[in-house]
Amino acid sequence: MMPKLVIVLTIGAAILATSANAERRTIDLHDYDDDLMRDLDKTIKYFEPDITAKNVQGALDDAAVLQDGFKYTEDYFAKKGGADDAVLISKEGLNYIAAAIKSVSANDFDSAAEAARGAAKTCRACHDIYKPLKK
Amino acid sequence: MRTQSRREWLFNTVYGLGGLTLAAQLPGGGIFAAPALADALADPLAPKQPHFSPKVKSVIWLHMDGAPSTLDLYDYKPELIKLAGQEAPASFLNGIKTSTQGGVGKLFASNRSWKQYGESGAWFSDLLPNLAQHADKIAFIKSSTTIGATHDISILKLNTGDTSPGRPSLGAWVTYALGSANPDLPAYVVLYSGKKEPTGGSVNWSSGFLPAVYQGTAFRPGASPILHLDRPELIALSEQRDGLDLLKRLNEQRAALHPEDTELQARIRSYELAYRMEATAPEAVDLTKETDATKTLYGLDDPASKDYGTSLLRARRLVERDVRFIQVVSGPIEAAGNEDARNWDAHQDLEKNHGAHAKAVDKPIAGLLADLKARGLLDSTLVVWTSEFGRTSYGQSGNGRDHNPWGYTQWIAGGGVKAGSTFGETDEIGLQAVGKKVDTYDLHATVLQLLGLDHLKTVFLKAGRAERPTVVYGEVVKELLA
Repeated sequence: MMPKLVIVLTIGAAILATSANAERRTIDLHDYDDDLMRDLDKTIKYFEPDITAKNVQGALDDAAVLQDGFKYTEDYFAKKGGADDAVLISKEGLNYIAAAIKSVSANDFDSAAEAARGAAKTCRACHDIYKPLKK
Repeated sequence: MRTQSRREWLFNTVYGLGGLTLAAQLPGGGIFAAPALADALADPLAPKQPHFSPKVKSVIWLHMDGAPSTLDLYDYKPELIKLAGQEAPASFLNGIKTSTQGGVGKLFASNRSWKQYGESGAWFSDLLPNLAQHADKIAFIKSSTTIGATHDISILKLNTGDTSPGRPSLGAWVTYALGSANPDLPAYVVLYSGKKEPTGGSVNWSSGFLPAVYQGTAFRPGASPILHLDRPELIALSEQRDGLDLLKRLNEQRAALHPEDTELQARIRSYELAYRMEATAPEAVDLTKETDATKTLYGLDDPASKDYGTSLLRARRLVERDVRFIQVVSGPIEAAGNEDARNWDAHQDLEKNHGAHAKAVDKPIAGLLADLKARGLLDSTLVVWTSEFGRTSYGQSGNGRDHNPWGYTQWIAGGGVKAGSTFGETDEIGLQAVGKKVDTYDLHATVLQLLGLDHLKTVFLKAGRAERPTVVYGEVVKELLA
């Protein structure tokens, strides 16, 4: 595994561990782009399977959608204020996506899949705090 | 310039570079491995290699429709008996939304006696005296959880993993990934007892977005498993063959123009399969050649268990004929005092309901396990006992129980299974799973594993995207494996 990816994953794991113990918070999310969130939800479910299946083009297309979504989310929470953890988690999501793209481009699908799973965990980490999911 | 239709675009996308590269590596990638129609039509049901050596060849998926109270069958809870009649302590209700139908009643204990069986010491209630004799063949999952509190939604989740229609059922994934081992019978058969189709209907054996050829084929109860399967009386065999040949040619011409139409491809195959099945299907479910001893073993000598026993004996015959996945759904029963036939859904009068249903299934399932073992088939078959959810520790209507998606028992038995074991547990009153929980996706991943399939690598390309049976969820429950 590449050292940079190890660092990303280690930092991510620390954030996830923190967020797992974070309290649930209520925040007005009515102005968040729901359509975008639905796209993210759909795409994150394809991302790691596309990588595992070595479907390079599909994985890169997924990554592009996810990058847009994580960037939007980072900006959204930064602007909203009082949600530094969400900003941090979004940044981590972006790091995971970048690591996955790099690994896919190097045909290192195992590392890419690991990074994709990390990205999916950042989604859950944020939801655990702001909008808990059933699954 | 000719514009492409949306369908054509999607089709071409699927057959694009990514699709071809991917398809070459996939079990079940037959249809997408070659873009030409001739190859696509070659045989989507041709046997395919698993990812690794399988432990079993067939699965018998026993769905107890209506959701039995596993608290009254397998999950012995002395604390519940002690606390019966009292309000459920608040600590047991943490984290769950309990207002499914009638809110939370007082804790309820039915009139059961409990005993441990076999070397494993597994608990069984007096409702399952015959199955209890096979305790050491079974691996229990006592920390099962699911989503949803209504039958249709949770049955869908049980069979497809998701709570919305559109995804393939587990049997369809298995058929897609492994193909058929018997060209004269459907690879995926659904059996049910009772007078009508199972709750939720055919969406529970649907192929979803997989090609339609992988969907389950429902065999009706009775002598004729498929409606209108017999050749009409006034049509000679040669006339029928000529007619089918003409129809095949016409369909193939049409299919050449619309290679994306998997329904049509499935129809072409079903005509041929139906032709072959005129002989094979009735024979496969014809029990006249079974001995009286075998029929008795499955409870066919008792009106209470005859219907379900017939389904299970048919299931064994299908296993012998290499059918990959047999989904058996228990039917409603007209119990004395009930105006309508009911499945296991005991919102009231659990004693009468479960008494009748346990009697219907206990001997047949015990018979199935014994018969498979005696014939040397248990090592190559996986039997899964499951339901859409369990039932609550608190009562409803005074003598019934409500739906419980938070903690219930399922079990598996057969090849590759850690027989005589128990994985997971519920809390002291049997309401919620504690520790590591087993979701439907985990169960699916485990079943696929035993069939030699890595659930992470069982992939179908849908419009250029990889779809898997467990999406991004599901883990093989290794503790259940030998």
